[in-house]
Amino acid sequence: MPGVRPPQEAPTSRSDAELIAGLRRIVGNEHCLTRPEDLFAYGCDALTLDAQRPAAIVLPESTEQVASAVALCAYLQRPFVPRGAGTGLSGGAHPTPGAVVISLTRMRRILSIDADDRIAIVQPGVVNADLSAAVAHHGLFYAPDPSSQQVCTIGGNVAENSGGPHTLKYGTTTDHVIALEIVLPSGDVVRVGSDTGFAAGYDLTGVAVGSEGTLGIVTEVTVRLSPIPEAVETLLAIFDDVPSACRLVGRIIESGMVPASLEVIDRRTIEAVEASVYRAGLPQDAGAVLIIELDGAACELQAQLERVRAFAYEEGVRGLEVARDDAERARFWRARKGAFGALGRLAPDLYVHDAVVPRTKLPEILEKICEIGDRHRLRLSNVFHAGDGNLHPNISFDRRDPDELARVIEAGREILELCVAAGGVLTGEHGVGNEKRDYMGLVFDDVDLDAMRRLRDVWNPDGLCNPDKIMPTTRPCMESNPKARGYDAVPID
Amino acid sequence: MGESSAAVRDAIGRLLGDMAVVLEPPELMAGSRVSMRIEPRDAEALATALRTLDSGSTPAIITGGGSRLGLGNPVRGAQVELSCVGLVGIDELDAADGVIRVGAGTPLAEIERAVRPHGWQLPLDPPGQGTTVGGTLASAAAGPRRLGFGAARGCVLGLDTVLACGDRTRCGGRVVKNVTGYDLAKLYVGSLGTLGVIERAWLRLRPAPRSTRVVVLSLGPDSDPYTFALAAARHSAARAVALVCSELADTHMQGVGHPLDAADWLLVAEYAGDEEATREGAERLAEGRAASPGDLTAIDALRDLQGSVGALGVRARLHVRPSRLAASCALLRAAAAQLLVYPQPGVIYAFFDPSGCGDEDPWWLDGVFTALERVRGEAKAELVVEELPEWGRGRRDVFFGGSGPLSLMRSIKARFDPNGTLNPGRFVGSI
Repeated sequence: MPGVRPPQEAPTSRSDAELIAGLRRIVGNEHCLTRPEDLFAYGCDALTLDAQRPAAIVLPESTEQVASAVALCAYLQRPFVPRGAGTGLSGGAHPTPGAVVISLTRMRRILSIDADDRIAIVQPGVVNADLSAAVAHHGLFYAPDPSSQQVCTIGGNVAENSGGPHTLKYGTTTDHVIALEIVLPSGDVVRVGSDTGFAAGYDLTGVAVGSEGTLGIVTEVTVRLSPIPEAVETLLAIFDDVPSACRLVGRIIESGMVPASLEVIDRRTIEAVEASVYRAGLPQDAGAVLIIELDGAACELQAQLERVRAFAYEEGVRGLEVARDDAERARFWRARKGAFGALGRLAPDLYVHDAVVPRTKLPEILEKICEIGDRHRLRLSNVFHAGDGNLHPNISFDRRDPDELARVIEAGREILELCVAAGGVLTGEHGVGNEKRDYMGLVFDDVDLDAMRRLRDVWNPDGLCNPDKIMPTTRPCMESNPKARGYDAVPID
Repeated sequence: MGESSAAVRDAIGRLLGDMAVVLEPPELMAGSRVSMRIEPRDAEALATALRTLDSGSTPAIITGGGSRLGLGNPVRGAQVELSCVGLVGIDELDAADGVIRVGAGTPLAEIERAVRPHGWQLPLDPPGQGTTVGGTLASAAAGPRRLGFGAARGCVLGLDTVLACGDRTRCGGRVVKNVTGYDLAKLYVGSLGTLGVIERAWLRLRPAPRSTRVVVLSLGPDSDPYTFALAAARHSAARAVALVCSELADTHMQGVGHPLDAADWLLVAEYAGDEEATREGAERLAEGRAASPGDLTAIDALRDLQGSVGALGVRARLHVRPSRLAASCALLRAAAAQLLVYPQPGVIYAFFDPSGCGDEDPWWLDGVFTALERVRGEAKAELVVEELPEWGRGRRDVFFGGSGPLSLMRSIKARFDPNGTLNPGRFVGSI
């Protein structure tokens, strides 16, 4: 049975009792959690490794409460960690021992919707999919659509600059956020950006989005809404192998089309999906399937569809289905969006990578990634955003097997090194968190990282706001990577 | 240049050799009298130049093609121009991935020429002859196609930037999706060279459209031009939609081939994409109206107009929510402004002509700022005075104090440029 690390000495001279009493005065007793089971539940996010024990969890309901809680933490020099739904995969919401977790999930009101100007103002705890549902009757939607959109929050999306399958056409969260209210690590509240989409001055909104909650706590988000496209066509292309699917992706993009999505699912993932509740009727002997979604004006989609069809047959597609209605479209997407859930059934643990490579290198890199998996005798599968080169190699494993865990760690490092050497980066949408911070040196040198520290230190001079994220420690990778430290570092009760 | 200034100049000249050229006579530039130009040819030379300037706390004006030198507040005490026009070249064009790496001094036109044969376009179209990549990004400049292209920052994948201390840094990368570390590119783009000097950039290209169509039509006094133009701009194939008031249309848009008789506004719309979509967009716009097919000269004319300013006049850029366009424009028209309006995303260029006022009339200029302040207050506009007469420079913050936490911005400036070398005073709040 999993458990949490025993309490470690908090990095403060003040007692937990003083801290907790202060937090209770701010949010009320019922919204300040300190029971062991609560501390356990908030000890990690969806990266379940290396859970830590926070001192307390607070669930504020207003900006004022967030500001007061932060000010108290600043006064007591106690680290604090903002948290949304906890669906992050890079440990961005992991507390350090003794930190205060500030959960924004009670701040879940949509404050305003302006359909004429196509903007909405929301609190950070609003669930991503709920916002789209709330504006659908205006013919609008919120474009960033992470796979976890049924539960993940806008605040978390802002912190991680989340993407999703439709990033290819619509961009990531940063392209849709125009203003923020932020509680700084001092407890001061600032507003950055503007509802006009332009604010004279440094682009503090652009800097804050994707900063993984290390520059402050976002308490209000102004987002752009997009018009629901007039028409959508969704295709499922079935191939004998992944490289063929990748070649079709290249043909489509190089022809000048900008599809809404180009998503590849490999054979092992197909098998997992078809054996799960997400089954979508995919052929289990296929080497890969490619979901292609086109959207836009109805008058242009038919011609695009025919071009895609022609390319697909030229690239040796084995079968090509076009969704006849929304139900069939939903079936195709169920396979893609349920893939991680389905893979989760294969083994007790799943390690989801998120590297990005230049799109044209996908076939070569994927082949090498599979070689790495085979060499380390690991169950490795691939689901990826082929249009923008964003890979998700998934390794299914059992953490209780120390030898397998060591091979998972080594394979992960080799995958990241491979992708970076190919001109890629560590993460396309999951963030660095504490998972990949010590790989930052693969991409950036000390001077680059120093420039990042200059920015962080202006906002977060004491380092209390979500410590130990993004920036590397001085420890070698194998020692500081949570996976490297392994589950055994977390005592099992 | 005084004795001490001459000494600084001589010292820089000794350290930088051929890279530095004495300007005789000095040139007036961004509110300062500049007596030396430094023109590095590569990143290491740029780093050396910046280290030299920083070690002497010598303020410098950072320039590109020079098309936006009028933007911003006067640079404090700069005697040196650091020009990036020598940082030219296309390092790599990945025609399959649609990305390109270029030097900051590379003119946009050169990039466009290089990528077009491969079926791509550069999604940057600011006004100005010889406009460079670095200048465009530093000023976050956009042109008539901002509707289709989006903001300048959107095409930036990665930047090589040299900090004031001479450190050569990199952020982002060449891939199109990336959350690896802090997004410092967002900080540098639009910062007017006050935090670092952009040396190279990885840019994301866009597919060149298979078809483009331009439509020009006039809108009379009985029309609701803003609602009409906004609807035009919200067609999925719209790449540029602009309203030009009749006075500006008379003087700047005569070549577009559409009669302007008795019209209050000229509307120019460009649709780009597949043949079917552009045809539908153009037909829908022209339905029931006397529209003329236009060509790309109409877009060029809009771009030239946007970058123009009457003799000694004022050009202000206002950003408003689309629903506040009508109210904003009414206030500006009441203040005798001539307008170019991009209804989506809600950008107004207001031109104020001092004709009829006395030379260097401070009352006139104060009146312009008062009118703009009113729009700012009543229509909640964000605004920047982009051009104003040389004699008026420094009278007011052309960013109207900006929006957002100025103290945070000052702290960022202090951390990135502690000795105040890079365009000091030019930015918001005279940062």
